[in-house]
Amino acid sequence: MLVDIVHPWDVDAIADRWKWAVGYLSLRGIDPNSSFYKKPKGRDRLISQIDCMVRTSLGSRNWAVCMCESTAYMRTLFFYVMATYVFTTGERAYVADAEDLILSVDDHDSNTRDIVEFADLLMICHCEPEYPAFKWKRAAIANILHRRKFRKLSTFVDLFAPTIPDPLPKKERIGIAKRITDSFGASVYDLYEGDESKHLIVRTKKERQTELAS
Amino acid sequence: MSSVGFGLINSLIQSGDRFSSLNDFGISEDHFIDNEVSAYSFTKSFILEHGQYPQVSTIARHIGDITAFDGLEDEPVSYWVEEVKERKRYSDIKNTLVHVRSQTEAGNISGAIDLLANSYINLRNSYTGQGIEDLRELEQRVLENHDTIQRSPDIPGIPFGFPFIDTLSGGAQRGDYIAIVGETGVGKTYLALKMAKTGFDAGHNILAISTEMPTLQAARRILAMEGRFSTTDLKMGRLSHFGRQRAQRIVEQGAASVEGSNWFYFLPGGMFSKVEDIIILAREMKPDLLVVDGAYLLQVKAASWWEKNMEVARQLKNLSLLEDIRTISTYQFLKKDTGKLEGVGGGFAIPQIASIVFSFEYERKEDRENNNEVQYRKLKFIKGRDGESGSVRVLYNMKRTSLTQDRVLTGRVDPDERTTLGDESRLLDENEVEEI
Repeated sequence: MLVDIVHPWDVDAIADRWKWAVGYLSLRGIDPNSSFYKKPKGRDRLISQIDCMVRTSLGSRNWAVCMCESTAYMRTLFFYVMATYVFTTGERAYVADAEDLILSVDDHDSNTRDIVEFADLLMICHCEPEYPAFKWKRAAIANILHRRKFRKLSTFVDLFAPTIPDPLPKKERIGIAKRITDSFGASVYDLYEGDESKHLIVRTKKERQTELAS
Repeated sequence: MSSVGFGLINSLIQSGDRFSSLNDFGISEDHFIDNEVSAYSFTKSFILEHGQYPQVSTIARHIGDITAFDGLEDEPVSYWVEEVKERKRYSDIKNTLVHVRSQTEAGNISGAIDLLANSYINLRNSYTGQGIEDLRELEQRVLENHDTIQRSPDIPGIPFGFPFIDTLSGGAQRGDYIAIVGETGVGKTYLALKMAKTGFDAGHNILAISTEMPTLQAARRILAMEGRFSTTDLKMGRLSHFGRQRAQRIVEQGAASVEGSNWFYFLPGGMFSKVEDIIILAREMKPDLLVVDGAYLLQVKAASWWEKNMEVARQLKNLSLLEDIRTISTYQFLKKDTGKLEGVGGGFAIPQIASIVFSFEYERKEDRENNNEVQYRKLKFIKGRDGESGSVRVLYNMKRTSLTQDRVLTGRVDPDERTTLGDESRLLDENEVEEI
């Protein structure tokens, strides 16, 4: 059954009902006065992408590899998804960076560590595999992902690919998906395979064209 | 001497209406008394033999009462039908009261209550006419239904909460009697409550009874489903701060729902343990969906266990048909024939009576023994209303108290319809790909 998606622009941010969600998002960098609370005009594709990702996170295939040509676009999309997910479900969502992951693995008592391991939806932005500190912590981060998989907590990972042909042939798609092992090690590849996972190809070009046209 | 029975026969003869229209009005031989019975039987056999009505004087001569049809008013058939029915109701109530009194005086209170309940059901039935219907008129109604469904984006019936099953069956339709059959401990009650909850969320009125558990326990399960927390946490007082807030919000939202919106009532199992009690209440409240968890525990007068099950199923099916209520009941499988139609506890009668029979099974035999909170179950049609067949894998997550469709195991829907389903229902051999 489809869930009713609640976007940040659908709610009254000062109402008591949304107090927790607004406060939570405020701590994660989404201020109530920010543009995330305004409906992106003329960007229907972005809204449909947000809805699709929220629905995916609530479905049974809730482990997704997002393939995109732009890391900046993905980061924006992840923040929209975080806000929408929190308003829709009343549960915790988090957008994690390489630094969040690196720091949290060593600090077991920190709030970040708790949220990275237990948030109902974790979205990991593109992590450059060659980042030295990241390379050192790779196995520990992979362990957190294993634990999240065991708990069936939704987890999306952004995989950067300089060009994603349209249509994307199966062989190339699998090639891109395999790059996840560069960042998190070979054991992680298995997490994003099978019945609980899916590949999301996030297109940005058409969005840009629409923007230019408007 | 003339009476209402003679009045009815006379008006039929004078109007020329067909004799079988008495059946349409729900009139049988039982409605006639004394000499009227002979007049009724004679008229019937006369029509059989000669193909037309006899003269009233012939009937009067035959029954030996030449004044039988004298002084009758010239009223339409429907008037006399109501008169005859009213007389029958009066005599039924009178007879019942005599019997109830004698039972009460003998100290048999439960017997007296049974008599009252049966009499009430019969009286209510007398108000519902089950007439013959014209195929052309029925076809017109079928077409009207089709148009209504075509205009609305939803499925025609009450959804069960599993996209594949809903698309295939169109949900629970008016008059459906649906049986869920499963082994002990497989989660029949959870499944029945999930279906009830889905129906409630879709804006329908629900009346539920569980013969196996108190109402508080059933409500706890539903609250856990709504809040997606474990029933054990809710029972043991182990909700997190956020979980507690969420539960509070759900309860407050429910309490704040506007008057006139749909309702969900629970019947206490102990008080409503007899099938007649449930039928009486369902007739009064007219829910869209009646959920009977543990129909095999309902009490009814019958000699053996399977006769009892059959009688319960028959009475509930009658209720569904007469009152246009959808009924979902749960039954158990006999151990040796799990998953088969012949294995339904209560014999062949239940699969024959039910419009749809769902089998709810463990995915693997080992799941019976292990205590994992997250398991898979199989929900399959073992009898479809219109020959539907198929099965889905259900994610049975007791940590979140959720039963969701994981994927379709067998059966297929129209490729066009598939697009209307959630992403959970697609079956792919490899990783699912979506381009957004």
